[in-house]
Amino acid sequence: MLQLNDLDHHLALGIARLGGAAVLFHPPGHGDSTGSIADLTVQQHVAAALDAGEVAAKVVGSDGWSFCGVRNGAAVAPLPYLDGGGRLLPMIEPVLDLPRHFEALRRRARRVSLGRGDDDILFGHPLPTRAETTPPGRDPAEGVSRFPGPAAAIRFSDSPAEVLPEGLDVVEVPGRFSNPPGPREQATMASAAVRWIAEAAMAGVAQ
Amino acid sequence: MTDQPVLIPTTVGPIGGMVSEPEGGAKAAAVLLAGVGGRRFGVNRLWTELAWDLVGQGYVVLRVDYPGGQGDSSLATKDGSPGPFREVVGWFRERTSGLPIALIGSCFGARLAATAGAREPQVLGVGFITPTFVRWKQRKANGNGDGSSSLADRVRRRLKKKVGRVAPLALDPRLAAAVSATLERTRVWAVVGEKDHRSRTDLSRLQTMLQKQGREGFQVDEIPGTILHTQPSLHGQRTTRERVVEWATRLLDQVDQEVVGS
Repeated sequence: MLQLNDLDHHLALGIARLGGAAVLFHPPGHGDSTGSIADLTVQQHVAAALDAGEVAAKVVGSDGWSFCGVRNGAAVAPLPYLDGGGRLLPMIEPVLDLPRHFEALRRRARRVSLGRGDDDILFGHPLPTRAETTPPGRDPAEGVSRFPGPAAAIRFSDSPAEVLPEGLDVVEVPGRFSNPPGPREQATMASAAVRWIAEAAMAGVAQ
Repeated sequence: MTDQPVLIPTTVGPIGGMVSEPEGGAKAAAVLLAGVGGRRFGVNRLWTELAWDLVGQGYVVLRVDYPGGQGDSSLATKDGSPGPFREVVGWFRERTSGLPIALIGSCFGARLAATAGAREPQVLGVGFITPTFVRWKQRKANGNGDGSSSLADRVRRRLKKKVGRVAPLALDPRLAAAVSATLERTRVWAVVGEKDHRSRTDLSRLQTMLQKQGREGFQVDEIPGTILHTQPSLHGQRTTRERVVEWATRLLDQVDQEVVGS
């Protein structure tokens, strides 16, 4: 979340410039939120997203919020739909295979710590290892497949191969994927996502 | 305890922050200033939890996003000058009813804390966490986004690659003067990790400079075997919080003693 903070803000501001409303929230154990990052589960993350949508609806006076997922947030974004939320599903550089993603993070942590044993700490952040698995019936890829509205993966053209569900719009942005993305890459990616959201929302209105 | 998100109007645009306040009133105020690119919550929520710890000691705490595209602060500015932070401190003072204020700055935020500490009234103390006091270029500190660098920067990098090391950048004389002026007015303290070589060098040179001016230096806590800059370890994060809270508690004790003594 910390490394993609600018992307989130670009995205929210882009949506606001188009006349929409956007809310950024910090999941439990992150940013300004209470809770523990080590105890965070996917289900808690989904509950926090739904709570954020509910609070935002009161503030803005509108319901029917959609959820946008960035990186492993994309594994969470389709799940609120199962509990009754979401019209559009934009996902930026989505990571839907959480066990594989966490294994890669652990390898990276091992490399960064030079094998000193801090395998669950990456750049000062504990890995939310309890969020590595999803509860039965809450598989992210399946959630994406079952999502009834427009859904897209917005990614750089040379992004690492991630198996995406069939039928998903794939919007490729020319450029290189880096981890973490630089400020310019984050702005480019957010612009592409805002364009897709605007088009999908307009298509929904036309129908 | 309550947390209140705020957008502070400044001449360079809004600066996002969070005010954490104890129930039943505060004894003092504190501002946490992160370094360049820093968000108000810090690595692994370090500043969030530090703020909550300080609230537990009786402080009302403001922590802010660094302006220029980070967090909730204005995307319009890349200004690294202390001006906006003085406005932030002024905004906070108005809302804390004349409480004495502690300024705590990390990395580049330490420069801003020192500059504000030299001017602001009723400063309880100024704390530096792995500070940097070398001459600073605005373009470099904020990241100009196009990846370019000056000829001098490129020469320095090549030299470092070939020779292994280069002489450290010179201390910023304005900063040294600000720390000196702050020392005249209030208590100054710093914490640094043993492996924070640049910060240790800056602090050591600054102390030498102050001694040459006939001033007493200030207390520097050095944490053995640790890097506090970038906060890569949980141990470093924990120690930073503990040390800052110890220092802030001492400040409050001293204030209580002074009140009793007067």
